[in-house]
Amino acid sequence: MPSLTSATDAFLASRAADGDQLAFGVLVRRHAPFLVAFATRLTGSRADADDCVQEALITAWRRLPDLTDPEKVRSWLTTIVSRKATDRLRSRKISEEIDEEMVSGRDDPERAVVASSQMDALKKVLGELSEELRVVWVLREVGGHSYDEIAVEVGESAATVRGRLARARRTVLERMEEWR
Amino acid sequence: MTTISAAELAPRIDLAVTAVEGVRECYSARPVMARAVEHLTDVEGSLADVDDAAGTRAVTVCIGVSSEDDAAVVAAAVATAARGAGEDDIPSSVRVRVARLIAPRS
Amino acid sequence: MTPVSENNDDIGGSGYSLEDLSAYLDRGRIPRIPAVERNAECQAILASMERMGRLSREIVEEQATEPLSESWYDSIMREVMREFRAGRDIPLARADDGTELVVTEGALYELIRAVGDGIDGLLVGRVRLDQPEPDAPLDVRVSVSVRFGRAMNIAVDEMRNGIRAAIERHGDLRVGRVDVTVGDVHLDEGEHS
Repeated sequence: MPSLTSATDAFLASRAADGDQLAFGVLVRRHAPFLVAFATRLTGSRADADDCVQEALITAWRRLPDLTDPEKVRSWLTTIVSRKATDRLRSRKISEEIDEEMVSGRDDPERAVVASSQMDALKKVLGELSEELRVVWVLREVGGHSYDEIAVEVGESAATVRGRLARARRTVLERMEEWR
Repeated sequence: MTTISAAELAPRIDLAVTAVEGVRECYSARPVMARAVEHLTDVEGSLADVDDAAGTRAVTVCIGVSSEDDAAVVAAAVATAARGAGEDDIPSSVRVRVARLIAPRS
Repeated sequence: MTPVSENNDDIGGSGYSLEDLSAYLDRGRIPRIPAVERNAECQAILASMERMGRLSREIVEEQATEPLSESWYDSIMREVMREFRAGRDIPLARADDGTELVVTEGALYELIRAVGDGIDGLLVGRVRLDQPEPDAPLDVRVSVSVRFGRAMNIAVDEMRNGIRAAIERHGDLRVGRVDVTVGDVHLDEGEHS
């Protein structure tokens, strides 16, 4: 039997939707590292990212039959991860109001590193953005979501999203300028 | 003659079914919601579903069979085994669901 | 990179603020605003914003090159293996009153995939089963990918016969039509099964 590992996303998603667990496994291995990296930027925590992506993938297995365009499976997975991540941030915020310690306790070691490159500098700057601004930044710049999609994900109006993105960009540009 | 309860009967059916020749695997026959709750509490119940709700006893068993065997023959044997597990006179309807036709090990 | 003044809402005298430029960028710069496009400071800021976006994507892509551990995948796949898709129940054979023998759609899909994948040069894509009336023969629709160079008609006929034989082995099941669509052509990676 020819290997599935070089099959296209659309092909694998169709088989997985029909119930082929092997095909789903190939899809998972192909996309999980990206999804974890995406979720790490979004939540600011690798541990939270792992949880969100694992939950998202199990949800994806159950809902694959509903995906009308198997070709778009990658962005569909990203959207499910976004939802899990923003849900988690929302519930984390509730407990953060009780315990301020948690806010600074993010296990992102990059925050302590002296930036030696532009990429390191940006990582630091993004890590220091408020969660509100970081989330819309990541959803827009990395996820490619529209203002309306982001609005639904964060539970605000598109106008609020527009304002937050602008503030995020202003902050990033200023801080990156300082780094130089 | 004592009547065996649904909770007592289900594990007996599981045992009887696993012993039937041609049964490669046994799966949970219970409705999805019940399985979801079990998953949350990490309690593994029986695989067979014994439902007394409608006034008569309805038994459902879910199995995996080799794709090389005639699944109907194995399923019929499983139905007989499931009926025999109760050792009582309560008429039950039995449904055997073949959920996998497994390729032979190569 | 051009410094951005906190108090200056008007970028380079263009009449547009940073927020305007941000939204303009996200609209894909459509419709084109000449006052922005002709303004050096606006262009510099838009370029910086684009660069920061690209850099963000690179940060994620860099992390994405780190492989995840086997145990990371284990818990997901364990759950997935437990939740196989059964689909409808299809009557398998006549039985005594009070006994129902059925096979699931999912079981037949897996069988069809195994048959098709087992034929040299074929890889099964989507599978669909239709049973127009209870106890009627099953109509099968399959899409396949064919390896480049493999004689298509021969392989597809082999698969049709294989599917019919594999399904009709079980109980009273009968197969009606087997419609095969060749959707893709794939290359052999030289891997052996």
